[in-house]
Amino acid sequence: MTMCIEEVVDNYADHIYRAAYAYLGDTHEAEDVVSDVLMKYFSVCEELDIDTAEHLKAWLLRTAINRCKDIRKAFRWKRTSALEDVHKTEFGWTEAELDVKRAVNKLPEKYRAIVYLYYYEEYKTEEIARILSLPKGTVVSRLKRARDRLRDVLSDYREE
Amino acid sequence: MSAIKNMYGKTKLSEDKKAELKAALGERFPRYADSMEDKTEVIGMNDNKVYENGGRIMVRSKWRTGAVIAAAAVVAVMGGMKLARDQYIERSHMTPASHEEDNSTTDSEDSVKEYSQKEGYIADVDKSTLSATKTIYNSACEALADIKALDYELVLGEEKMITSEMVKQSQESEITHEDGKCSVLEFAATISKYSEGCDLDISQYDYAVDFMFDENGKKVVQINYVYIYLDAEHKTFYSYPPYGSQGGIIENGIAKQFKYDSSCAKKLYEEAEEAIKYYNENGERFAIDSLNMTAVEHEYLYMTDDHVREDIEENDKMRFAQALMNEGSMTMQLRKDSNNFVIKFTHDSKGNVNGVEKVYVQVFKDEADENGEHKNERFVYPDENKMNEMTVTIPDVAGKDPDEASEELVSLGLHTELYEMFSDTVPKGTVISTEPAAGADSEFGRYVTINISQGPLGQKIIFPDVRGKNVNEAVSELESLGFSTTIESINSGIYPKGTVADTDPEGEDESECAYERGKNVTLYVSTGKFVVPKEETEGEKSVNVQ
Repeated sequence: MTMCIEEVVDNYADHIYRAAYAYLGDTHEAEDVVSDVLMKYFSVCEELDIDTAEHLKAWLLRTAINRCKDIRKAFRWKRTSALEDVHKTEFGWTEAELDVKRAVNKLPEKYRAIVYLYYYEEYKTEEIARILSLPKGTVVSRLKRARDRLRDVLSDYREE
Repeated sequence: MSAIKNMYGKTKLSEDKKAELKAALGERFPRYADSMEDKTEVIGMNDNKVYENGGRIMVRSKWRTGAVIAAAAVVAVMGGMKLARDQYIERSHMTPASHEEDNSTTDSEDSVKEYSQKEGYIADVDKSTLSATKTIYNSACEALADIKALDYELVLGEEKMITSEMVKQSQESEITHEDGKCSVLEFAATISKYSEGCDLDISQYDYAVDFMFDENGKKVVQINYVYIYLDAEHKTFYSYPPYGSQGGIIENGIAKQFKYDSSCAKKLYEEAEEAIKYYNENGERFAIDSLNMTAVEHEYLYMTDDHVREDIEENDKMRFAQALMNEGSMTMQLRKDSNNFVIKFTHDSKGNVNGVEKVYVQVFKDEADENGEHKNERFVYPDENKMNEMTVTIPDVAGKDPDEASEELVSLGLHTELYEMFSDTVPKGTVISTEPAAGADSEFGRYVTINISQGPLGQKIIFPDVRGKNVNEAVSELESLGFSTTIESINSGIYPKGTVADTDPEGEDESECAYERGKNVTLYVSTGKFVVPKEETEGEKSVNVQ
C-alpha cells in the first residue's frame, strides 16, 4: 500500500506528532520526529509489506517511538515548567486538560507511550506490546501502574 | 480516563507545519507527490478510500475446507509457503473459540470447529465502527476492572450479555445497588460512563458485550468480545478483538476459559508426533532439540503480522511449528491463552528428529493466591512423575552481546528482560550478569533479568526522586550526596505547599538519571496553587518567583 504525501500527512502526521509529544513532552522535538518518520517512510515505503491502514499507522507509531527513544538517549532533557504556557496557547487546552497533561507528564516516560497508545489510540495491550516490542505482561503491568498513579492525581482534581 | 483522550486530541501539528512538511517531502520524494486518486482504485487496500467508495465490505464466507486457521489464509495469500493442514483436520479433541449460535454450522461427526467461522462475521469494517467497537471494549474493560477492584459479583441475566438496549435503559431508569453485587443495568451504566467524553457516540450502534467466565462457568473473568451488529436482524456483525482470537470455549451458551488438565500434555504430544510423521512422509528433516512457545508465537506473527515480519528471521523451529498450528489444536489453544510449552525430541543417528521424547506444558494463572503468588500449573507427558525435568540450568552469558544472550536464554524456554546498570569492570553494552545467576536452576517460562553494563559510573551518581518531599529534607538529602541546590517556586496543584514539585534535572528513571556530583540541582518548590493566573500569557513564565 502506498499513499501520496498529501494523504499520509493529512491522515497520520497528527498521530505521529501526538505519540512523539506524549513521549518527549516537547513540541519542537515532536515536530522533528514527524518529519524524520515520514522521511524514513517515503524512502523505504516500497520495500515495506504494509497492506492496511491499521498496519501503516502501527508502523508509523512504532517508528516514531523508536525515534523518540533515540532522541532521549542522545542527550539529557531539560524540562522547564515555562513550556506549559506555550502548550496552552498552542493547543488551546483548558485548565482541566492542562492538569491532565501535567499528570501524564509526571509519569516516567516508559509509561507515557503506553498511556498514549492505550487511551488515545485505543490499541489493545497485545497491539501495544507489538508496537513497542515489549512482553505483553510488561505492558499490562505498566499500564496498571500508570493507571493507578493517574487515578490518584486525577481524582485529587475532581475534589477541588 | 477520557480526559486523557481529550487532552491528546488537542495536540495537533499546525496547518503551517503540515504544509511545510508536505513541501519538504514533495521536494525529496516527487514521485509520491501526485494525487493517488486513480491508483487507490487499483490498489484497493487503502481503507479510507475503499470505505468512502460506498462502504464496500467483505463478508467472509464459511470456509468449507475445515480446520483452516486465519493464519493459513494469510499465508495462502502470501503464497509459496507449505503448510501441513489437511493431515490434521480430523484430529481435534477440543472445541475452539466459537459461539453458541455456531452449533448449526458444524457436522455432528466432525468435532472440528473453525476459526472466525461464526456465520456473518465481517472482518473489515469502516474506521468509525472499528473505533466504536474498541471504545466499547475499553469501557467494558474499565467497568469490569472497577467491579473486580471492589470485589463485586457481576449478576448477568439470561442472555449473559450486555446489549446496547441495556445501556440505553440504564440511562433512563433508576439504578438500585445491592451490596456486593453489580446488576446488569449498573454495569451498563458504568460502560456508558466510561465511553462518555470520547469523540464517538456509541449510542448509535447496536452492540453487545460478551463475557468470558472462569473454568466453572460461574465468575466473569474478562470481556470476551464486543459485537457490533451491522444490520437490524443481527445477521452480520463485527467483533473486537477479532472473532476467534480469544481462547475461550463455549459450553451451555457461555464462553468459558479453557480448562487445562493432564490430558493437554498428551494431546500436545500426539500433535507433535503427527507433525513429525507428516514431515517425514514429505521428506523434510529437522535437526532441532526442542520446540517451545517462542517458536510458535514467532511463526504465528511471521505468518500474520506484516509489520513485525521484517524483524523476524524464520528458522527450523518456526518451520516445524507450522504443522502444529492447526485450528482447534492444543498448540493453538495454548497460544491463545498465552501459556507455554516445551517439546523435546528424540533423534536418529543422523541427528534428525524422529520422535517426541517428552512434552511439558505450563499453564499460567491470572488469579493470585492469598499470598499474592501466581501459581502456575504444569503438566508432563509421558512420564508424569518427573516434573523436575522442567528445570533448566541458566548458562553463563556474561560478557556477551545482550541480543545474543537473550536469544540463548529464549532458546532454552526462558523469557528475558533487559536491565541497564553501571559497572566499572564490564565494558559498555555487554552483559554483566543474570538474575538468577549462571549455573542456577530455573524453570521453563520463567523470566530472567539480564543486566547490561552502561559503562562505569565514574563521578556520576544516581539522582534520587525527591518530589513530594519537604524542601528542607530534599536539600539535605541532595547535599549529603554532594549536589548543590537552588530553590525556586512553582505553581503546582499536585504537591502541597512547601514540598518539591519538580527538579531539574529530574529524577525518575533510576537507570537514566546519573548526574555528576557537585553540579547544581534546581528544586521547584510548590506554592500549593495550581491555577495559572489568567494575566500570565505567553512571554511570561509560569514559574512564579515569589
